Amino acid sequence: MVIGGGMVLVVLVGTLWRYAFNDPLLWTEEAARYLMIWMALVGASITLKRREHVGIEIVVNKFKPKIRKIIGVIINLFILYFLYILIVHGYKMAAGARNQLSPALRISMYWPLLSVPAMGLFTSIQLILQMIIDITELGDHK
Amino acid sequence: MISFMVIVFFLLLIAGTPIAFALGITAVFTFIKMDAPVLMMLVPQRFYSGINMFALMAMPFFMLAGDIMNRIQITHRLVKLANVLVGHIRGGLAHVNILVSIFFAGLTGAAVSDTAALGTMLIPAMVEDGYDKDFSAAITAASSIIGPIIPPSIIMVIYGSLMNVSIAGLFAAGIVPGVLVGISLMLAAGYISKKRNYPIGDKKPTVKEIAISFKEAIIPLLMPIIILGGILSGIFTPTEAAAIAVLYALFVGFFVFKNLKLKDIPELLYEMVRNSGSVFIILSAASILGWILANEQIPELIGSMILSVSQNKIIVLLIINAILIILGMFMDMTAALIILGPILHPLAVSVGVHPLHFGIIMVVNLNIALMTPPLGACLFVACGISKLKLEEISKEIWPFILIEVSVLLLITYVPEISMFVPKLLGLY
Repeated sequence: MVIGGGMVLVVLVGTLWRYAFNDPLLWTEEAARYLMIWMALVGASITLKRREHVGIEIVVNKFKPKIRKIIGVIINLFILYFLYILIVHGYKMAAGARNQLSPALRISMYWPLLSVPAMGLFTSIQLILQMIIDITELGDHK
Repeated sequence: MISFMVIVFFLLLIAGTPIAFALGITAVFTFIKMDAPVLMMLVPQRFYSGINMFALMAMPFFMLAGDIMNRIQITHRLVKLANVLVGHIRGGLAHVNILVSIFFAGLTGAAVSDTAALGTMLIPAMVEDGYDKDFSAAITAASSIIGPIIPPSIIMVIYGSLMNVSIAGLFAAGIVPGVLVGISLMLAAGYISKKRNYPIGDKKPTVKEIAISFKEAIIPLLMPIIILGGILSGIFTPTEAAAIAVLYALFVGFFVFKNLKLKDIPELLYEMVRNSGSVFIILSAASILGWILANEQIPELIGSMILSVSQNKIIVLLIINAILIILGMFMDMTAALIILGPILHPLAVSVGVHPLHFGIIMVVNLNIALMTPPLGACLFVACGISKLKLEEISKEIWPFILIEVSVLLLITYVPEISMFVPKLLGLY
């Protein structure tokens, strides 16, 4: 997760470079944008790790713990399915663009597009780990 | 199709699904129901292109700059200045709370960080001074929505990037409405303070005292001037201005206040990745749903539905405001903006509302939702700090919500309030 922080630095340097030299280096704009997307999507999985994605809890909290757990598992399965689509189709998308070059950097579009399936993968790992923790905890709640 | 989407989405939300995933799952289910497996390809595509925008980069930078400013305890200096300026009026600390929110608004772009920063400091101080705790928490939450209305504003960055409206123009248009919200809250707080006999602060400050606290607060106050001056005069783009803001905050922290350590940096960066990540993923997921809505021509449908009720600008704007307030109460602000923006924006423009003006209406409206029960994010933060229950604060916040809704209506029907500054600067 330190990668995220590192990317920010590069983004910052990129933007500053452009300003300081008053030279529209097109590649910094593009590089910064791709790094931002990577950062954003990695950041999303960090948020999940700390269980901080915004969700409504007042209704669910009215149920008994056991039912709440079951609802939680169902929701997580839905999320996994969504992430699965991101991984499978996202990878297809990235692989399909392997020979396509980005306009300024001239790198393969494979790399920026890879962020989507990567996000899906990181997030599903986090989610599965959390589900295992939740299910093993089930016994602890009376 | 639309009813299917609405039902699935709200069921998921009620079941406690994080909003970003609720949006994504709804989109996937809709594709399944449309029985078009080819369309699944669109999920990752929209997920990617939804945030593939350079202008959006201003958002994490403004977040980082605000976090750094907070870390180096700029709040204390601002509170001191506000205290010298308005502390001697009846209900002094309530006014201080609002005035600092206005100052703070020029540093940060998010309401929740405003509630957190000012609440931890001012709620205990107000209680000690003899104010009711629920009132203190309510005024903190109510005034923090000034943050995203006065630039820089994260929500305006998102709105501008998505709707293709000038971010600089939105920033310029937000200044007067933000101050107006502040002034009306101060009037309300003053009235309540008088009725409940809340304390008067210390004696009137001398000119010298004012000058000293101004000097101490000059460094934080310079930041909005640099940011705004740079953007509005066209020297920087909003993204560059946000990067400059980060640099300025770092410079002040390392070399002027000297209370920022190199080892604080990773944590600050981590915070930024985390905070912006949760907004980015909502943007990404909502743009999948946005595609479906556009493809099904939902914006046109809803547009003609509202226009069939009335074509009168005043009534259409009233309906739009009502929709926004009600949905805003139950939905995350970013998600509401992305989904409703493309639907309501063309509608408003078609009855003759200027895009900048409508941007301000939406931003102010959705911000009010941050402090309405049952789901206002700022209320939750204020609850957390004051250890009060939501019901207790809710009781005290209603007068302020009422005031802010009246200001919203004023902003809606007097376009000059928003358009005056952009017009002056030739930004539209």
